[in-house]
Amino acid sequence: MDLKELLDESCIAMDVSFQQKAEVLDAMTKNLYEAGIINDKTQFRKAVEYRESLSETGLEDGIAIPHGVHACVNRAAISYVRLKEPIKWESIDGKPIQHVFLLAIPESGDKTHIRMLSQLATMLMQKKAREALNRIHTRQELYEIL
Amino acid sequence: MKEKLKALVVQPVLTGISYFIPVICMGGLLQSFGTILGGTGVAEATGTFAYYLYQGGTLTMSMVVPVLAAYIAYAICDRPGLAPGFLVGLLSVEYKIGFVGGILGGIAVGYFCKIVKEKLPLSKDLASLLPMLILPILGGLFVVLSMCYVLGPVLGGLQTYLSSLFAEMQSGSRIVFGMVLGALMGVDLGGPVTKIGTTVVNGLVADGILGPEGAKVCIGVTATLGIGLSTIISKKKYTAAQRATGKSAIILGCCQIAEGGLPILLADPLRVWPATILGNMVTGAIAMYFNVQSPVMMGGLFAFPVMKNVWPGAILSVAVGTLVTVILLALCRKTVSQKDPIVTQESTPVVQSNMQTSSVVAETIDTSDDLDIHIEFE
Amino acid sequence: MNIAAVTACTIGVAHTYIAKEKLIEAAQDRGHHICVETQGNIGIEDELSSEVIREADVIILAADISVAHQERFAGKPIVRVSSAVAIKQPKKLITTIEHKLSQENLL
Repeated sequence: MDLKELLDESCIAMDVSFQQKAEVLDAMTKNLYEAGIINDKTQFRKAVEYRESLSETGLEDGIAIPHGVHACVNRAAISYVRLKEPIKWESIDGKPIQHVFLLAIPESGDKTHIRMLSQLATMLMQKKAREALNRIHTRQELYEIL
Repeated sequence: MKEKLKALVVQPVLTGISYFIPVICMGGLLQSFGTILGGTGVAEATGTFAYYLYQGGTLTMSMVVPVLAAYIAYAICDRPGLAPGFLVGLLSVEYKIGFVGGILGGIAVGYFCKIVKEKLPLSKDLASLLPMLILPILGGLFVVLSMCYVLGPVLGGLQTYLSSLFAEMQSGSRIVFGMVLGALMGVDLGGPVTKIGTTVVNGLVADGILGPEGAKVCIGVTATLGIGLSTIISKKKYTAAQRATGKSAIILGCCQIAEGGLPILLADPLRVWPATILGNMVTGAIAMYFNVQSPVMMGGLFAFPVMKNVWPGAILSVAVGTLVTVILLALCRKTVSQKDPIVTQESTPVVQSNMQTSSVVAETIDTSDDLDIHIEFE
Repeated sequence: MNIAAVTACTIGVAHTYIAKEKLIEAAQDRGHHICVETQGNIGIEDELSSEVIREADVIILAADISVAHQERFAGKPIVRVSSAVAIKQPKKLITTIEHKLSQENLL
């Protein structure tokens, strides 16, 4: 089992244009909802917003991993969006964000899947993985990195 | 040497204590509420709300020694210590060797499991059986053997011997009796030494002799109430955690739950014993002198309405005894060092919001502001 | 020096592990030996052994929630910070600790 299983193809969007963080999160929440991963858009969006209020979710070199824990999450999953232009987003190194991984975390459930979400966070801390993200063009290539 | 002893023995015991405090508080309070609501006959008033409260409290109190023993073992060897540790505690209750058995047994089984866990040479296949099979079997055997053949008989025998000594002593003057009872109850605040005295006293109630029981109720309040008040009066002699314990000790003391003072007693017995023992002796002597009588065994200040010779005897005995305890504590205890390690420091680093992408930014963040951290030392 | 650390964030899925990576990177950068335990949503991982704790010159607790089993660290110098400090200022954190410990003559 690897990270790919958590990333539904319908939840990947490449080179889309958004101006605001909130717009990105709205769109990604909608994707997760339509893929059947979450069953309540409003509740999940609130959970994500709560996490944003705790501390910045932007990592380094333009990658952000917003996330939310809520009972409305059916299974652990990831949604990925690569933005056409980086947008303003609070991050560790202060850089704007181009890659957004939204993690949907169930309140209870399979520990191995939740562990994989943690592994993604760890992986994205490696420079090599971040550089690879900037080179990809297709969904297939994203799967290969993971 | 002293440092080593502290790490090997004292720390685990303190861990055990920190886990049993809430158990004692819950049990003691439930018992007291039951006694207040149901009066003296609460233990027999089956089916009433007061009885249920009292019963819940009694059952909770029976968990105290098991929890103490289990978490002492847990502090030494982690999870494998819990199961045998609880058994040690249950057997200590069974053999009536109480806290002493729980502490000694908990330490013994903790180190036994630690040695097995770390030193037993096992092949890889067998190693996976260690936590689920080997440790429980060996730990259980060790507990049964050591408690039933060593600690139980030795400590139990000691207790029987002391009990008979005490029984002979009661023919002496009433005041000496009160002082002896007070001294016994001051040694371990509700533990096995206390039980030596209280068992005799409770037996006398059955024979219709209520004087010693009256003294017992008063003594049961004194030491713990004194310790509690001392944490307020002699603030500097206690850590912040102990001062918090002290507040509950006041309430527990008034309810005659002497165990409420144990956390502070056990942490530094040599400097607390003079106060608890002498304070209790004074209370015992005064109560016996005024022939304070009590038909109930529990309740503390709340039992006063049903007791005889409450004024001046009971009130005076508790007041003077408590005063002696507080004064002696102030004299004997050392001032706690000012480096009270109860600081939780959250520092708020500054993030530079820099829209210009450059790797220099990442570097400068680390040196931007002084990081205000505290290092806690025990 | 030898460092033992525990990281834990509120949600316990991402930043617990990011803080761990950051601490390891910064400590190794400064030539220290470090072990990091994570207390996340899925429980404790890479649990600090009693040996590691014994050898440690300092314990770093980078956590936004209360750290489990703190009694293990009795008698050790403890530094408490939020996980954000470990994530954003790991180097500063390590160098400040170096500085403070040498002031106390513990190194």
